[in-house]
Amino acid sequence: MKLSKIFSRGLVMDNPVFIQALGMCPILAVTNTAFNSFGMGMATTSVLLGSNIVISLLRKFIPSKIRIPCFIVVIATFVTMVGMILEAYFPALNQALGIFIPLIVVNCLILGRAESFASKNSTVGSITDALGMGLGFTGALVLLGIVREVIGFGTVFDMQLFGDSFEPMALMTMAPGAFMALGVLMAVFNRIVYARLK
Amino acid sequence: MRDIMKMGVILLIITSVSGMVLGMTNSFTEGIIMERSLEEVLSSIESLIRDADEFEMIEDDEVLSRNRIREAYVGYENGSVAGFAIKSYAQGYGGEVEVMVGIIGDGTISGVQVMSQSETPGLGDKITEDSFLENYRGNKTAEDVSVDAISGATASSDAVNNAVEAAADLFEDILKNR
Repeated sequence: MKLSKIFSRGLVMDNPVFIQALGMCPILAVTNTAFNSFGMGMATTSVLLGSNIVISLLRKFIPSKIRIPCFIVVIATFVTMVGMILEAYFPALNQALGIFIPLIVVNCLILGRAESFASKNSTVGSITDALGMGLGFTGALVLLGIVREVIGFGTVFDMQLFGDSFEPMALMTMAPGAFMALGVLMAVFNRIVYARLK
Repeated sequence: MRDIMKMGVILLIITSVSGMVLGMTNSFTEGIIMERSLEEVLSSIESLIRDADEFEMIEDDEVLSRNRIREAYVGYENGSVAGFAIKSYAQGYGGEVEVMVGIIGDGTISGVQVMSQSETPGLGDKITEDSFLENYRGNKTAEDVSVDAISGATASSDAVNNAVEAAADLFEDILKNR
């Protein structure tokens, strides 16, 4: 498969959020603001990139019978590293994302890419795949974060959008708002973008 | 049998390498994380006990073993006690709420700061806003220190009230007589 196709697949045709619906827990939990969504997306992308590289390098070394524990160890290592780095250099983001940073370990997007792509393909292909999937994930999260932040707080990336007369809809910052916004975005994405490209 | 040995060795290699990498990352970030949290605490204490030029951590078991008290600091101005900063906590709606309470003179609250919280965004996290926290300023520890709750965020406001009360009680019971 051509690299450009591998890359764009993660962005649109196989978008992890809108098409595959993978990693729903962080998608619903931390997208209350655009900044948090961006931070979560970047953290997940770095873990995915690291794990895809290492797993594709080790793919001939790891026996297939114990591949899942090996993948989990590699993924957990990268997640813990990202957690430490965030705590040291981005304490505010770390505070906002809280428990969802360590929980990247169980994000099925990462194990899914390790199992279905990195363990069978070259390192270059796996890097491309990680970037495509990671950016597709980040893009979808940020989109959801923007929608929820605009309606729920009246801001985008902490910039005030409306005058004082705007009454924010607090529901959008909470779990029900996440489900509603995600549902609507998913429907729009499938109807317009996906249907047209297919 | 040989197969199992081989798999065991491979798992051992992978886990040892990952352990080593994590150890290296930790030794690299540990210092920065410690420094940052110390700085945060220090700047909070400094803003709560403005007159003090010297600070000391209280390491008294009688103080630290009290309910809802985590840390306590005393600030000196030219050698005499200027005030106290007490880090206390209470259960909120979405987890623990940790606050730093400044008490100066003979028991006046100089300010309250939220150190960490995980309350609902948009509702409970309003407890971190100045418009709420400034209501504590000037309250006397000898009287009732609690303030009116934010509407829609009663559980979160109660958590701050409970934590501030614990700090005020600590001052009244022990620190005042130092």
